Amino acid sequence: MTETRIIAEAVWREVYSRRKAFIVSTALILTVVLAGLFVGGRAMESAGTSAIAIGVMEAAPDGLEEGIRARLDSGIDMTLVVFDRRADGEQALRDGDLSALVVPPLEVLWGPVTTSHVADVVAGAMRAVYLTDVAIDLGLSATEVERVLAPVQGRSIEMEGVDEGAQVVAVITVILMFVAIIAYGQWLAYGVVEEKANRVAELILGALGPGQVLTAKMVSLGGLGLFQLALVGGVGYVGATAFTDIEVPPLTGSVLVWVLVWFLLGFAFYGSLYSAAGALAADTQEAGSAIGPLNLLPGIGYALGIIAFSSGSDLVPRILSFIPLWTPLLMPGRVARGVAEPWEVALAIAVMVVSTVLMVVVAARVYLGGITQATRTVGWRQAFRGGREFARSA
Amino acid sequence: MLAIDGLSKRFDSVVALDGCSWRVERGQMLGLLGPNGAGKTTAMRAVFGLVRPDAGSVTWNGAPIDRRVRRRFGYMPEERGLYPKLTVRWQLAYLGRLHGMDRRSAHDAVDRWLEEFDLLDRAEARLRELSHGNQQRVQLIAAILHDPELVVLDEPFAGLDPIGAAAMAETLVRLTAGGTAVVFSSHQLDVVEDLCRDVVILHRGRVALEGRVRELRAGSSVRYLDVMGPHPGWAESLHTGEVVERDDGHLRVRFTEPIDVSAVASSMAGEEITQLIIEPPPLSEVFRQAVSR
Repeated sequence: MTETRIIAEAVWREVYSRRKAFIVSTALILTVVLAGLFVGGRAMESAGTSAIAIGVMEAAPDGLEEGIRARLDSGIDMTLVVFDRRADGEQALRDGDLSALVVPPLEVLWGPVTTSHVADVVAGAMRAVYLTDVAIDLGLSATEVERVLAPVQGRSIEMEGVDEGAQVVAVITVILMFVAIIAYGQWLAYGVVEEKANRVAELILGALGPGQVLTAKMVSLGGLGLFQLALVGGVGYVGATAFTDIEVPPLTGSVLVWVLVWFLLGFAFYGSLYSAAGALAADTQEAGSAIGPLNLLPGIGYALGIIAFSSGSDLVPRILSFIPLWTPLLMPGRVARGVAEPWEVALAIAVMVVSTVLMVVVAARVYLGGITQATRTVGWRQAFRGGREFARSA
Repeated sequence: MLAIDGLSKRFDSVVALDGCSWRVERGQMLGLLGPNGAGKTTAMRAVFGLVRPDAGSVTWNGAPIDRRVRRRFGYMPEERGLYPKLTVRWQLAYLGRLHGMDRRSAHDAVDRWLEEFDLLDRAEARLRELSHGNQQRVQLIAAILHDPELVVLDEPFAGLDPIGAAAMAETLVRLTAGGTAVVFSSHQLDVVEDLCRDVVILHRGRVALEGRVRELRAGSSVRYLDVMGPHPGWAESLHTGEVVERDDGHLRVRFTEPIDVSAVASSMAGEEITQLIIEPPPLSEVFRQAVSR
């Protein structure tokens, strides 16, 4: 009981000393997330309701207005403006008030605000009207004209079994896991460096074992990380629903459990690695060279995950999601996309649990070997050897 | 009792400790002396498991020292170790709780010791806002707050002004009187001589000399003769000894051979001598002799 109470004291110290930084960083992230969703939502809204004006000389031929409307992307509101004098129409085009000026039967003028989409749409609609007139003049029936002018049926193909919403969730999952690992891993590492540099670690190790110190650090920062993730995720979820038209998948209990499982596994694995790295450096000036290379490990998984999930391919994520360094980054994304088989998830968790236990044991030794080398920066091998000797003598 | 037995430690090619042995009991204050690099800090760190010895043992009351035993010890490292950004009261109470105190007793002990060191009004200040001397006092409180059975202090007097040093010395005396075993290292040998009954002098990782300060001084072949009032040429009439100080009728003569007291007495005839003291060398000279061998 005493041991638990003393570890709890160390956990509370970690939380207490980071309370201000935590509140400030959480508030900052929430502000950025909410502002991003709000501004993004507005941008989507305005992008979806753009308006254009098309000029036409004298009177619009039958079917032109309908033809243009049918061909325009959804959300573009079109107004047809009739001009009696060509000069007035051209001036409006120059002023940017018109996107195109139609001069029947087959002439059209473009202006500075004309987009290629509008140009294609107007030209296509005019040609259809002209061809219809010619076909009727040639004596074709309405049915025959329809057959002659039958539009091309175009559609983009989609990945089988993968919907876009799941793809977005997968990418967001990778980003969140990466940010959590990097941010809290660094927090852990620099906390360890500071304790080594100001020698308070020597006082702490008089009362707690190295494993207990590491446990306290990981429980406290893991807890803060999870809390922040839940807060940001929750606010982001509600914000996305409130401010944007994004189709947010339903947040079920199983999703939350999976987030918790992957976060805990990923944080335990990388957290112990970052703590050990922190114990290598003599002070915060030298911490960068010890911790910096470590950021590359989740960084590689992050980059590959984002590229692969964005392109829709599952080959690379599938292979990498069984390598413990990248399992916590890629497997949650694959689960979110719905492409991970149950046996794959079970195998990845088993690999991750075993790897994490091994990593914690190794990290505790490196931590002890590094933290007791006061005022010195040591390498991984030297610290591990030192820590192993301590373990043998204990 | 803390027992260091045959402790050896080598850092690459540097021998830090070479079969070093010494002991300190509860209610005893031991001065651990030695030139820089003699192995004092390494020996102290070994008590707290911060150095793994290559050979030898460190025991408390005859048993190996584990974490639970260590919680009953207090340690003040040479490079001071506290949290610069946390307040004095908070971190002292935290360290007390880490050593097994409950919240109430830790809080009470912090306030009691802060008052003792005249620091109660700085309780809510961050450690980094305190002067060097006050930070050192807080560091001492961190080591003794939990009423430890053994206190190990690495250079506790370094950087303290005379008032701070006196307060530190008084605290150590009180701790010892209360039954705590106190070990401290220092280069201020006059302070050690005043405070400690026993010293261990380390040199190149070995115990060069150990024992009661009084006996170590008495065991030296050197003696000093302090005389007030003789005429200027009086010392030369002794035909032995070397005058090391001479001012305003005061002479200090150093003898490396046993003093012939009867010869001194007969030479005093006709002199107006108001004071005569024969004394062994100070601890600093004993120390220099021990580490020059």
